[in-house]
Amino acid sequence: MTPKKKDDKAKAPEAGPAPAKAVKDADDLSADFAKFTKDMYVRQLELFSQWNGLIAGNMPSPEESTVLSNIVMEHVKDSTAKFEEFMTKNAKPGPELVENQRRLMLDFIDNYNEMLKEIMATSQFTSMVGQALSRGLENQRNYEKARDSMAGQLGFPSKSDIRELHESIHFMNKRLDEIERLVRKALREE
Amino acid sequence: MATDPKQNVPTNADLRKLMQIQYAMFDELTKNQMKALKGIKLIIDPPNVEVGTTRSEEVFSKNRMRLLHYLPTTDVKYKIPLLFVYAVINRPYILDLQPDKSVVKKFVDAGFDVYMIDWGYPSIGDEHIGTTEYIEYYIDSAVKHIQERTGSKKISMLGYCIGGYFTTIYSAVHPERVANLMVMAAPLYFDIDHGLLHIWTKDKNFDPQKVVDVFGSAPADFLNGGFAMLDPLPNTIMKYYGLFQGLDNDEFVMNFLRMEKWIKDGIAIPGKFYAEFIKGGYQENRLFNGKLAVADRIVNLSNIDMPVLIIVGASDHLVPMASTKPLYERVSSKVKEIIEYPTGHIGLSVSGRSHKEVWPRAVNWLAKNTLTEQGQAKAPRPKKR
Repeated sequence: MTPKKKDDKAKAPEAGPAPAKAVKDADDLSADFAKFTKDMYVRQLELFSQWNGLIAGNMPSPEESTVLSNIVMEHVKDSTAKFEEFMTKNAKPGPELVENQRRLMLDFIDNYNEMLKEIMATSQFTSMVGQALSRGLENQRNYEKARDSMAGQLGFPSKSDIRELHESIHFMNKRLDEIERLVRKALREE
Repeated sequence: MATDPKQNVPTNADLRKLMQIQYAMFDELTKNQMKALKGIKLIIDPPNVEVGTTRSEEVFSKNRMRLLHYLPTTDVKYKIPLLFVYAVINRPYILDLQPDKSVVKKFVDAGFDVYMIDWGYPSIGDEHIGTTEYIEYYIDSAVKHIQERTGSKKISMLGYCIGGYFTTIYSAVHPERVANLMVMAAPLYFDIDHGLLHIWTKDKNFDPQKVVDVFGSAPADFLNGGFAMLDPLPNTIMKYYGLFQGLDNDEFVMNFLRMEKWIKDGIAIPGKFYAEFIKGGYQENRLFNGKLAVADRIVNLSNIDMPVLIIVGASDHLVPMASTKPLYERVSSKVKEIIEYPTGHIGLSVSGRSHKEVWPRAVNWLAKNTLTEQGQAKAPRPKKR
């Protein structure tokens, strides 16, 4: 044991009230982290549900909400466990702290990514994206029709006219290839 | 941090630890500043990256399709030529990204006579191209050209991704023209419930024809957006974090830029084929259900009787290996093999480990079976009784 220095001894108070906590202990921080993670994931879920409501016109059923909430809670649990592990094992002062913090961040991002992937694999998500895409394409289709109609009125070829033309050229090219092949064959046979 | 319990004042030992942390943080900060400077320089003055450097010449073309012939780097040891058929998504130089990670170069250096189909950049004039056109017009024209040019009655084929879908169909429709078939990460079997692409495209609300009706084709940005979502954070934010971490390593940066060039060099899928592939493939699994027709003929996978090599990546997000491996059971080939390797869809063609462990095996497999086929071709026919 190293002997206590004089200065340390001189500053020691004789008695008095217990000092206030300067920093939060590991348990408090873990609880804060869990709250932060949960808030973040739940907000993502709320955003997803609202988006779904706006675009697809329906909100998740209670059963679907439970499925999605369970995915979120599972990942909150995982992230919190990693954070607790960090606080108890890896958050010790020292040069390796920076590397440990980086690893914690990467674990957190990985967990978040997995959560997004699991949500995107749900029928609720696929249905919502399918409906949103369908509505978007219908709107775009109407716009294309109006544009083609206007082009026609102005005497310009529409996209479908150009497509037809290309298809005819392609068909003629194929016929030409076939004729060339037959001519070559006939010449060889002669 | 430990403090004197009576005073709540840091001890000298605490201060030393604090200084160590500060030093580590300062060190990290300095390193990051240096990296940031390199990153800024990279954005302002990006280096020119070369891709597809194996020497080749265009020997045939049909509309936008070009047939490339790779110039030999050694004596051609195998008379049966090898044709690479790449997907209709992105560009084929992923198979020849850089000299030390080039699948093409591996086969050229081993003494194969190598050809590659480059589909070019489709435009409004190609929107009517469907499966039959690809198989019976474009691929068949390329095969016939190679046959005429080399005098070989058969050719070997290597198809990657949708190119593997094409070569599988071609081999089933024209087995007499194919000596060996290699398929790599090919979407063939679609009745699986995992893989986000399989889940998304099966939804009843997703109608590929609507995409085609509006755009005429499936635009590259639309496709790339979907691919990025398959692994959202690694494909977006985290890849740039990875770049930042590796900015000190020039080779890493150049590899990153080559990959970025390829990813950004997307092409649209012609509308007719896109709708046929999503509906007939992902939604109805027609190839394996015996319902896929090419030029009014049903494609029968059991017609495939030549040696078959199936190459799959165990962590392929884009084409899960369960979508490729079932081919093994459906072909009637006597010689067939699966190489399953722990990498992703693109890793199969560009990862350093794949080039050490997968491609030498594939080259040896093809060499062995090509020599067998050549031997059979030379062997005198048995006399008729």
